[in-house]
Amino acid sequence: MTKPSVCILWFPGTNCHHEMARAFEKAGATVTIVLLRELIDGRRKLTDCDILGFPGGFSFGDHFGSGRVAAFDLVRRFGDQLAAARDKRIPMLGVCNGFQILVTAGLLPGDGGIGMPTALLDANHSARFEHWSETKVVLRDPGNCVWTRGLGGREIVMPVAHGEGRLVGPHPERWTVMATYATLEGDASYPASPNGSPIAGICNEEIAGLMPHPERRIDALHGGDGGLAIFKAGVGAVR
Amino acid sequence: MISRSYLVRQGDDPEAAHLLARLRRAGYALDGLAVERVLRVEGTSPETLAALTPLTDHPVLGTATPASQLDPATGPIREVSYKRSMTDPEMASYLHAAQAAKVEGIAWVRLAARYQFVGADAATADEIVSRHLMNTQVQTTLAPGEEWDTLVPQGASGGVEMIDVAAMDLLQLEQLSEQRRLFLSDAQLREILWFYDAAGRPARDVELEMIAAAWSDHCNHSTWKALGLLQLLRTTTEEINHPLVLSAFVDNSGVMQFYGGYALCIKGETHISPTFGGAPYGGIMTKHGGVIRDIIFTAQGAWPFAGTTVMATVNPGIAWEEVPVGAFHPETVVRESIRGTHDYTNPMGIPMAWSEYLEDDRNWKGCALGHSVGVLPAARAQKGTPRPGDVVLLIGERTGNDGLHGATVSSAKMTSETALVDAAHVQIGMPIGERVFMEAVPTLRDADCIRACTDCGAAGLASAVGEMGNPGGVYIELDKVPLKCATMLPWQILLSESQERGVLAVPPEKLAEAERILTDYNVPFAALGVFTDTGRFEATHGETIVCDLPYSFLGTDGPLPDIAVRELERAPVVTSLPALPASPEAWVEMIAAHLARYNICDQSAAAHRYDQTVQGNTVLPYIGGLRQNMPDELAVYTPVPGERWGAGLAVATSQRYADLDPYACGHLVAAQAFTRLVAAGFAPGDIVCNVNVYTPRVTDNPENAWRLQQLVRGYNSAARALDMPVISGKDSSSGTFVTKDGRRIDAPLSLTVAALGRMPDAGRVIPKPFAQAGDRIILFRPGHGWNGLGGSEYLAAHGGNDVLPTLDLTKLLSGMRRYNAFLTDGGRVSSRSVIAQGGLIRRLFEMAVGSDGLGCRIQLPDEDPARVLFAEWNGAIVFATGDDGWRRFLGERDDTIEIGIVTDEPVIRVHARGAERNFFDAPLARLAEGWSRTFTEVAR
Repeated sequence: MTKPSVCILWFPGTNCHHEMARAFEKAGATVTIVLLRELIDGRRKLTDCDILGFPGGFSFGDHFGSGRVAAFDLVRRFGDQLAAARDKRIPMLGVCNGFQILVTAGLLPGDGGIGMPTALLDANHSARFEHWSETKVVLRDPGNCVWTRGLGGREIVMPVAHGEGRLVGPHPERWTVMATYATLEGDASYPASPNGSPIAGICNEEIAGLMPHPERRIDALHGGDGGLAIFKAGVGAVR
Repeated sequence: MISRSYLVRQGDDPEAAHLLARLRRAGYALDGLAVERVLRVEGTSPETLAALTPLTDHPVLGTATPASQLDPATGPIREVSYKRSMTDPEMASYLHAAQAAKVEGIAWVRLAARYQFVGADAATADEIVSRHLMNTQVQTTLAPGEEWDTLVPQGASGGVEMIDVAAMDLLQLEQLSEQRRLFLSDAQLREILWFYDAAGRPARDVELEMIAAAWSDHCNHSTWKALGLLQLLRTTTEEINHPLVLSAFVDNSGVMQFYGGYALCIKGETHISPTFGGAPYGGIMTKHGGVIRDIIFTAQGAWPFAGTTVMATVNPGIAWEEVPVGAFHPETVVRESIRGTHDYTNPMGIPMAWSEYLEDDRNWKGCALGHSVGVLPAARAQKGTPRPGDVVLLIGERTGNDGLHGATVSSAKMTSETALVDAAHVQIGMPIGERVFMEAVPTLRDADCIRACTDCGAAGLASAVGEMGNPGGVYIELDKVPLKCATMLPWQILLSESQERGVLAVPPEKLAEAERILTDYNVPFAALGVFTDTGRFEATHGETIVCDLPYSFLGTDGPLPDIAVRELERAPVVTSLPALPASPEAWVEMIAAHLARYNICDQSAAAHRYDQTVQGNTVLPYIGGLRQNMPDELAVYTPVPGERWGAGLAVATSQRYADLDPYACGHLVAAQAFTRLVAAGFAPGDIVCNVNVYTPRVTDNPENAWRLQQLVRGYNSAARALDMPVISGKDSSSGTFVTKDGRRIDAPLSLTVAALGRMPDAGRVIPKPFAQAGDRIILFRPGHGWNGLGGSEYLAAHGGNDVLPTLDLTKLLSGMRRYNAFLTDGGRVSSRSVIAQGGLIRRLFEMAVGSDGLGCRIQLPDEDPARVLFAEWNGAIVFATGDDGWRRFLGERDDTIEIGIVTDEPVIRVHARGAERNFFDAPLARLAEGWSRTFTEVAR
C-alpha cells in the first residue's frame, strides 16, 4: 500500500520542520520538505501531497507579527492553491508558528475565509517567550476533526515554546477546540497555560492548529510518545 | 515620498502592561502607558502601499492610520527608532511581502515605537527613555514633529587614503593609531614603518586596518602567544593523544569522534566589549550569532544542536548612584542579555543547554560567554584548504557599517568614553539571516560544494578571507560585496563585522550547483574573487587597488607584546570562620538566605525564555524536576536523528577560586565539569572539553599575567590528569574598566570549562531529583582532602578566610572510573548531583525541590557542619540509590560516606552522626521562598 504523502512547508526562519518530518514518517507517511522557493518557481504546488504540514519556527523573523509575512505570502502568491487544497479537503496541521500562519491566513478558525483572519494568536500574558518542557495538554474529539479523531480526553505532556500563543477573537463561540491546557475544560492560569488562554489548539475539520509541540514527543527517549497519536490520526485519515 | 502609518493596538496590550509594571517597580509613578507602532516607507505612494496593509492591520489589533492615534494632551510622547545608519531587520521581510503583492519602487523602510507616559512630566519621560527604552549607540529619538527628509542611510563616500607611514616618527604613528582606533603597539607600529620603508610606497588605509586586525589580540591571541600559553595548550592536547580528538585548535571549533561515522564539535566564545561597552542587547545577539557560526563553518560545515549563555555582571540590585559613569546598570545588562539571547537562539532553533547568571562586584566589564555544539560527518571533520582557482563566495546578509573595529576594540580597556567613541562596533542581529544558511551549509557540504569555509566574525572579510587565503594567496573585488549602505569606504567594507555572513571556497565546477542550493534556501550570495597562488592578499574596489600585502608579512604574528610576569606575593591564609547559627531556627534562616544568593538561586525565570526542546532531540533539559524549576547540571541530546547516541554538555564556571589560587582554580573547575558528566553516566574516557578564560588586562600588570599563567597551567594539568583534552576555547584579556576619575576596576579572573561527552545510549542518563523514599544518600568525594571554605559562597556571604578545598585529580579520576564501573555493571543510581558553588546543602535542596514531595534526613560526618554543608568540593558526587552494590565498587573508604536517606516528606533534616543533636529541620517551602524570588525579580 502506498504511504500517504506529506508536504511540510519551509519559509525562511522555519525551524521545526525536521522534527515534524520525523513525526509524520513515524506515523507512516512519506515526507517532502517543500521550500518556499520551490513554490514560487512552480516546482511544487500546495496540492501535491495528501497532507500539508506547517511547522514551528520564526518565519520571516516574526516581523510585523508572528506568521504575518508567511501568511501574506501564502494568500497573495498561492491563494488559488490554498483554496484548492482546502476544497480538496487536504488535511493541514499547523504547529506553533504554523498555527499562527494558518490563523493569519484565515484558514483557522476559518469562518472568515482565506485572507480574512477572524482571530489572533496574541502575545502571551507574560509578554514573554515561554518554554516549558512538560505542559499537560488534553485533547478533545469534536467529531469532525481528523487530527483528534478517537483521541478525546487523552492527556499528553508536551513542550510549549512561544511568545504569541493566546488565542483571541470576537467570536470564540465559533471555534472548534481540539486541545486545552491541563484539563478538558482548559486552565488559563500560569504556568498550566503558558500564554493565558485555556485553548491549546483549534480545528476546522481537516485543518488544525496547535501551540504545543507534539512532534517533539514521538518516542520514550525524548520525553514520551504522546504526540505521535496526533500525527497517526492525520495520516490515518488519508490512508 | 515617505508614507507613515501609526497603530495603537486596540484592547489589552500585554507588552505595554508589562512595561508599565516594570517602570512602576523601578519607581516611576505613572498613571498609564501606551505604545504606538510607526511604519515609514519611502519611495511609493500610500495608495500603492494599501496592498500591504495586512502586514499592519488586523481585525483584532486595529487599523493603522496616516496620523498618530495618540493624543499629545494625555501625556508626553517619545519616539524611538534605529539611527539612520542602521538597517531595520524588518525591512527585508517588508520588501519580500511587497514583491508578493507586486508593489514596486520602495526605497527604504523604517519602524519606530512611540511611548506615551501618562502622569509623567517631560523630564521623567526623557529619563525613562534614556535609561530603560533605548540604547543611544544604535537608537535615536525623534522629537515631536521632527521628521527625516529621507529614510535612506546617509554617509560620506570616498576612496582609498594613502598614508606615508615611512615618513612618520613614532609619535605621529601613535597618533595615527589612536585616530583610527587601531590599538597597535609601538613595536607593531615600528614593524609597519619598516615594511613600508622597504616597499618604498605609502600605505593604503585599507592595509593598515587589515594589519591591525590581523595582529589584534582578538584575531591573533597575541597575549597568550607572548606568554606561551597557546603553545602549552596545543602541546598538552597533542601529548594526551586522546583517541577521540579529531581536530583541536586549528579550526573554528574543536572536533571529537562520536558514533557511527559522526563527530561532535564545540566552541565557546566571549563577546565582552560590545556587551558591556556598547549595547548589551546587540552585543549578546552577536555573541550567539558568532559562536553558532563557528560551528556552522567548522571543517566543511556542521549542524548546531545545542548552545549556552553565561553572564557575569555586578549584582543587578545595586543602586543607580553606584554605577560608574560609562557603565551600564547591571540590571540593564542582565535584562537586555536575556532579551538578546532569546531573540537570537530561539529563532535559530537551537536548544539552550545551559544558562547561568553570576555576580561579583568587580564585573563592571564583566563576562559574556556563549557556547555552541554541533554534529558533522567524521569523514569531513578536518579543516579544508582552498585551492587556486576556487571561488571566494560570500554568503549571508548584506554588509553595513555596523560592527567596525570590533577586533581591535576588544584589545582595549573599557573606559567611561568607550560607549561614545567605539559605537560603531555595535551590531544588530538578524537571526533568520543566519538560520537560512545553517540549513543550506550541510546541503552544500554533502553536495561537495565546499572545499573550505569560515565565518565572518571579528574583522569581517579581512579576517575570513585573509585567513583562508593564507599562505597561498587570494584576490577579491570589494565592489562585489552587497552593501546595506552604498556609501561605505573600502576599508569599511573589508572590516565590517556585519553578522550573519560566511565565506566559502567553492570549486569552480561546483559554483552553479552551490548557487542553486543557496537560492533555494533564500541565502544571498556573491562571488568576490578567487583563491590564487601569489602568496598575497589582493583586493580592489572598481579600478583601484585597495590592498596588496604579502602573506610573508601579513601572515606573521607581528611583534608580540613583551609582557612582564611577576609572582603575586600572597600572605598565608589565616583561617577565620563565622560563628555557626545558635538555634535550629537560625540555621533554617541562614540556609534560606544562602540558597537565595544570586549565584545559587533559582534562575529558571531566564531559562523558561529559552527553547530547550526544539529539534526534538533533547533527552535531558538543563531545567527539570516536577515543577520545572530545578537546575540540572548538564543537558543531553541525541544529535543524530533515529539513533540513541547521547551527547552531553556540562558547563562549570568560577570567578572566585582564582583569587585564592589560580592554579588550583583550574583543577577545581575542570573537575566540576568533568564529574557532572560522569555522575550522570558518561564514561570518564568519553569526555573532552572547551575552555574559556576571561582576565583583566595583563599587558600592563605583571601580577595579572602571572595569575593567568597559573590558571592556564592549572586547567592544563587537570586536562592531563583527567584524560579530558582541551580541544577548543577562547581567551579574552580585556576585563578592565577605568572610571572617569581614572580608577581601574579589574574583572575577576574567570574560568569556564565546558565538558562535552558521548554515551552509547542516552536512555541511560541518570536523573537528578530524588526518586524514591528510602534510597540511601551517598557522598562520594574521591581525591578530596581538606574541605576548605575558601572561595565559597558561604564565606562571601558571612565573611571570613580559608583556603580552597584540596583535590587530588589522580584519585578523582580513579574514583570516577570505579563509579562508572558500578554503573556499567548494572548498578542503579536513582538520582545524582555534583557539588559545586553553594556546597552540599544546595544540592540536597535542589534534588528535593525537583522531586515529587520528597526530602531527606542527613547525618553529618564528624566534621565541622559548616564545612560539610558549604564547602565547595568541586567534583564530589552526592547520589541516592536503593542498590547496595555501590559498596563493592566504591567501598567503605574515607571518600565514600553514607550520609542519609531520602524521606517522603518535603523537609531537609540534618543531624550530627550518632548523636541526638538536631541541627535543623528545614521545610522545602520555607527554603524555596527566597531561592525562587531573587532572580525572578530581575528577569520578569
